[in-house]
Amino acid sequence: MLESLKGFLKPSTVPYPYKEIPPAEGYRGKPLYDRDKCIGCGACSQVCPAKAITVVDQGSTRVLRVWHGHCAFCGRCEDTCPWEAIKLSREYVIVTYNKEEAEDKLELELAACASCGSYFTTSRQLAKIVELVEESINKRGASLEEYRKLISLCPPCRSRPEALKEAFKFMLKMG
Amino acid sequence: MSTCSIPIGPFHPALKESLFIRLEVEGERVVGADLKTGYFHRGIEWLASRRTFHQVIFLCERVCGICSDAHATACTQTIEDLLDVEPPERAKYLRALVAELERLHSHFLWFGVALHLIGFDTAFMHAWRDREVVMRVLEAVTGKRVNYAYPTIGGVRRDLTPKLAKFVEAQLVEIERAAERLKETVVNDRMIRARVAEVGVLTKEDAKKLCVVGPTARGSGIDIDVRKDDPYANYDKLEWSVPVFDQGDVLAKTLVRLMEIFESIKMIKQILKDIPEGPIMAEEIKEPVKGKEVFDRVEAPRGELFYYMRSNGTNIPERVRIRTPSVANNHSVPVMLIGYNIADAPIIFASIDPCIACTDRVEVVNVKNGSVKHVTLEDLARRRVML
Amino acid sequence: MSNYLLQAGLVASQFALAFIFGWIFYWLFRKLRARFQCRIGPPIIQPLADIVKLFSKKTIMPSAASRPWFTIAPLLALAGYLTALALTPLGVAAPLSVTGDVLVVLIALAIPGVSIIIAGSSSGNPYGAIGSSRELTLLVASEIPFVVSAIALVKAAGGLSMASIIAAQSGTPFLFSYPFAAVAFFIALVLKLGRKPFDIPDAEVEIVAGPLTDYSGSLLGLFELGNVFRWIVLPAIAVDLFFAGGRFTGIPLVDVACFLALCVVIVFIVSYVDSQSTRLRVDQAFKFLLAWGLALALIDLIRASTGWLVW
Repeated sequence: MLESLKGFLKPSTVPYPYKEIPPAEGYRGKPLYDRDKCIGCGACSQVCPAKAITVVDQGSTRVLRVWHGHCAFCGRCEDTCPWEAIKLSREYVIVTYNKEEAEDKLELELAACASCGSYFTTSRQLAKIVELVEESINKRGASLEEYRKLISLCPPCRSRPEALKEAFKFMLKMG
Repeated sequence: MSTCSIPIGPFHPALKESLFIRLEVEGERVVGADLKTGYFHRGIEWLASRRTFHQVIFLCERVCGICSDAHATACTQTIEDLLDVEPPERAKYLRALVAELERLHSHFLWFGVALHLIGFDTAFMHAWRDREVVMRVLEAVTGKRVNYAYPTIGGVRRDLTPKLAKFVEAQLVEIERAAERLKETVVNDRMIRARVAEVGVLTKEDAKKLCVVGPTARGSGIDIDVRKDDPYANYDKLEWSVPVFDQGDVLAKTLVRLMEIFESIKMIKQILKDIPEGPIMAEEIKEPVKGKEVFDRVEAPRGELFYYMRSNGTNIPERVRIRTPSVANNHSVPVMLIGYNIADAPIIFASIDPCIACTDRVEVVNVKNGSVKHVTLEDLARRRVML
Repeated sequence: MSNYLLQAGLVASQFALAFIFGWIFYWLFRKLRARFQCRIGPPIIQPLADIVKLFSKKTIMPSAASRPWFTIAPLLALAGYLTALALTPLGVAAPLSVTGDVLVVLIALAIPGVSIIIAGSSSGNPYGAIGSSRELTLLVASEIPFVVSAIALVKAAGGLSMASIIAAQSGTPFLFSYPFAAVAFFIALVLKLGRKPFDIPDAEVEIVAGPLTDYSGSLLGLFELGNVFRWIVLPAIAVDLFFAGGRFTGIPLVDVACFLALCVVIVFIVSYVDSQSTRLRVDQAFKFLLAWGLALALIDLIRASTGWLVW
């Protein structure tokens, strides 16, 4: 009875959509890509339980797409991404009349093979690999340019005899 | 006097989910009842045999929105038995913490729904306002208000920082005050008593014959609780007791749930005080063994939740079988309804705390020759759309 | 002829004013109920918005319903309330008044109950049938304290018209001289307004919407319109019978203001009782109404007719 009189003066509800209550720290809202960090490896799509993330190669671009309609907001993509390129934001409002607003799309440029010209991975991934091994290559005195040339071959071209010979020579130089 | 047939459901304001109860009434008295489920079948067990072990937990969590952590914990524990993984102590304490918080939110929800069904809308709104406090605690601890995705194979996904622990303790004071207010309302209000006392009685023999579980059984004098009989997480290290009442009517089940709220608050206080430091994930997960079958059970807010899994050596379980407490409790409803008024039917049905999303079995009745055929998994697979 | 035109004009203006007051009181009830439940509550435009929306929607007639009775039911309810309204003084004298108009008002206020029964039985679905049988039980149970306490006051006033009852309260309002009748009348008032603990045949969880389950569109809009009028007629009659209709001074504006203030007090009390009660079962409500309502009303009937213990 007392509660009724107390609640009379101060209601416990807010007139939502005119006034919102922000969610807590660490709330798992919509997953959004970090445009600069993502290299297009596709690990997020492999662990997604709802199969909401798709990685599709179209021509010379790789399109990564999180479809918020299927997303379960579990956070596995955030846990699995090695580069912290997909994070669950604190936004929870997905209501829209326009389907394109309910997804997060990222288009990355694919790198063409130096010898056969087919697209095999994103150029950012190659750049990332070079960045990761740069220090150890320079320490051993090998040439970064040569390494870069070696890895810009697609996997089929890489396993051809001439390419394998070049790779072996490089590895000998590395010690 | 001839009997009239009153349908409750599949669309009905008394039900939160779709279910069909047919009441045979004479005037206002119920003389027969029949229950049909199956409107909520989603094919979760079929989907579960197409997801890896880590992904299955998120799928099974969504069997029910109110007891989602119970499903997640049961699924995780079953997988841990299958893969022979033991979570560290801190993880066990944290799992129990979220499980008890979920029990609090589920019981406050049930009180709101039950009070709404007997017409006391004010207490319904107040109970759900107090439930919001629990939801905010869950949001701060796990990251979401429902479908927390908290347990994972080998432990839990998020740690409890000291700041969060202090926040939980502060909110617990508020929750305890709310529980005291609820107790005063339910125990002292004469009009509530007039609606729920000596209504929908389930005798102890009937309860045993129908194999009911959870607060439905504890309200009829049967002392069963998975947390005491078969302890999991860290329930054997906590001090608490199981509330049991003998009368078997709706008031007894109400009081069981009320006492369980207080026991949960007691348990959460102990967990926050005694939680050990340490890692929250196990270091190593072994490979699954082909042909191994395990089962595990958990005390969901509605009763005993039972999971069975079989592995075929890959990282995808071959078969997952879920037996939810509502499946067991639904069969007691036709027995409890007979002899009481139509006006009592919704509250009697709500007294088993029905979670119809949890009861997913489909029956196909051939009206021409009256035969009943159960739909098998293969039939469903033929008609399901591959995701 | 011009006399009739004048009377028709007065009645029309009474209806228009009553619609506005009824809207405000209905909104006030919904806002108070929400506030007691710790919610914010609807804005003042809500009742009008509901009615306008209902009239803009299509009316679906169930195939098992009997068309004439199904359509007539809401019109009957509206007719009952409007008849009672034309004879009720709202702070100033009523536009129409005859001797014996207390009886006419009481009968007119029983018609909406009958129309709900007709609505439920003619809609051809089981929920309607149960709702109708409950409404019948409650109509019988509620008319008894309602009528008996009104008759007690008629005895005390010595005349059978609303004007004479109001005139007889010029010393003390009947609330203080006949409090038992007041309590019995109030219990019946809560039931007639369709509020807890007696909102049994109305929209509820057990039988969907009871007698009104199959109503939609304009017909439901007419029922809602009747509801708006209900929220002015019933408090008005309560104030007239027990508070001298607000006529404490002779000045019309002050009287109307007092009348409205007293109506607001009644709405407040009804909202508070509604927010603190559960819904009783039909048999429990029947026993309660007969035991308490009838007993209290009878005490005052005996007091009024024999003159014992009158103060």
